[in-house]
Amino acid sequence: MSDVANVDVQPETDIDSAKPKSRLRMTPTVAAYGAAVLVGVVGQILHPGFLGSAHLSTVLSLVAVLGIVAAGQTFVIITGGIDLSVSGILAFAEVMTPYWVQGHSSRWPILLLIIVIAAALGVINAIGITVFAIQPLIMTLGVGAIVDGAVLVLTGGSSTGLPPAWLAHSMAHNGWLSGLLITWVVVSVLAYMLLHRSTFGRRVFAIGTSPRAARLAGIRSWPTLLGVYAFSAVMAAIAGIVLAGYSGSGDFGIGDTYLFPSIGAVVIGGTSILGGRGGYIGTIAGVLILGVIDSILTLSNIAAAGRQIAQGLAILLILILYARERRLRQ
Amino acid sequence: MTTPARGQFVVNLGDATIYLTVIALFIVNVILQPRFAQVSNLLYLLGTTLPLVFAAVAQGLVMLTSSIDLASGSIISLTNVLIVVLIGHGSATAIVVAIVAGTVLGALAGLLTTTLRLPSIIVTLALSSVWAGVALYVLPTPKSGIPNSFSNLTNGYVPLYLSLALAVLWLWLARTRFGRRIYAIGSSENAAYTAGIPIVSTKVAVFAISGALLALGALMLSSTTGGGDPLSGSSITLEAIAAAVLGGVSFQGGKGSLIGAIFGAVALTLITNLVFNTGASAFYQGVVYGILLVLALALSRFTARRWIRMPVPAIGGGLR
Repeated sequence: MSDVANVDVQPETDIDSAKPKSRLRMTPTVAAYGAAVLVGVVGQILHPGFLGSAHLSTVLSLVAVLGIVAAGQTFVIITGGIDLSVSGILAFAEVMTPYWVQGHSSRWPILLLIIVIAAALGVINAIGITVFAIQPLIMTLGVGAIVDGAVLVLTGGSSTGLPPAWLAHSMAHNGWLSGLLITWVVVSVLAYMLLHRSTFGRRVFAIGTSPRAARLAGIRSWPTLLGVYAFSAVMAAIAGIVLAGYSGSGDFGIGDTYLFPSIGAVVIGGTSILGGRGGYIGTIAGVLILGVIDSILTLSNIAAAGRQIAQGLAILLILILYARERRLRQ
Repeated sequence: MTTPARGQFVVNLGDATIYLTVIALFIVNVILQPRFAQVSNLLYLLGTTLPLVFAAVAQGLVMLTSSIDLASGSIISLTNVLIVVLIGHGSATAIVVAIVAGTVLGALAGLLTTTLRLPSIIVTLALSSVWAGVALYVLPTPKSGIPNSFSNLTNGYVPLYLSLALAVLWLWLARTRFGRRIYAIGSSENAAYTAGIPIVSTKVAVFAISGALLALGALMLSSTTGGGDPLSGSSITLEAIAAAVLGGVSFQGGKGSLIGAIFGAVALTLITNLVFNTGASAFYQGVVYGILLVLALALSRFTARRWIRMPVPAIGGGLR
């Protein structure tokens, strides 16, 4: 804490709130939870029983994977970056878990290895971004392409094997509590403590608010960014591992279905895509909104095309409600 | 971008790195496969690159204003399926509708990001989902039916002429008042606003032109594939961004040249071709592609001497 003791970073404070309140203002996080409740009520009206504990726990389990990926994405976006490699890393973990384990139950160190490799990939992201000053979007895009290709090379293009039995068993949906949900809860607590209750978290906000000011305040950005990108990669790997346990097999294209929603969830949750403002609490609301909307559309038998359109429009609508930037000034 | 002296005509070619990269990739390709350098082969490759060239220029144009268009691939998909669905009403109708649609979709993104003050990255992310869904509605499964005459667009010397036309068009546009405004907004939107530059109309125009270019890219895609596919553009979004960045167009905006973006697209095709020529499994494509992309950008940190300037005798009254 020593070298940032004098930095007065107030991540939760909305700059606008200092101005006189001319119209109703609410923080993006409150708005996001309001929207989550709203879509839940819409679901209940369209499909009675939607908000019942049975269906709700199913929805929570299904969005848990997105929630875990979005935890890492939240950190990255708060620093003002973006992580497009999460899709590749998630697919890597999801395909390689059954491939390397091949159904043996005793090979849990394999899972550790996958997480370590993911962390190394995150470090590579951070090195490109800090040392070589490559834009996060393009650096993570490149690393994502490398990982996507590497998975194909390693497996020879066919995903085989079964995840360890204990993993498959614990992730299966039994009762209202599932391994997926428990993992998400653990990740949420970890992400919250790290982001809002640690020196590391303060530095993340400081860098996102103003890299220059952070540097002048004595914060070296590279160790923090290293941690942030490694965290994001590890979260994507964990998401891939639990998803492998849940689905029982590998799927090369699985990562792409989580990439854009992970960014969408973070932004719907009130985190500024420009960095410096936001938090994981809001992201959870964003994940719930996307999950509930998807569930409503699935129950309404709407085809994939309609789901894509509705999801895009929903994100747009929510953004119009509360993610607008300030007016241009001199 | 420093302002050239009055009466001096400066061709802004952007960062030098991309041209060195293209030359290096070309040489390696020739070493691996001597027949690579045959004119017919090069023209064929350029023909298959044309959709990406148009997409990269469209993306680069948006990036010059410090914005980004993550919906570009979906706009290509949508206009691509529109062309194949409408081709029964005559080629001209299909092409005109596609270009108008592309322009309108682009302008819509521009309007949303400017008038509602939403970051373009997230507006276009949401729109990409919407347009991809609409494309699936218009044409749920891939369909052929583009007449053979369309292939003339990407055959023979036509791709070369089209690329040159695009380059010349940009060199002209960059010299107009509109072009200066693009660079001004990209450098600092606040400063441009203070200087009285109309931000909304300029940005909407940029997005609209970008949309029209994407529709043209879809037209080229229809010409090379001979059909329509609702997912045809899905991989192009990120490839186009990579091409533009590789070509020296800065994410921070206000820096770079779209000539660089054209060469960025060419570089990506040369990389793809390189992997293909080594006879390695297609699985290595992504690995090599990613490594070379990151490597080229990491090197540009050291090789970039910001601008190549080509002093040319003044034509007309010079810049104003």
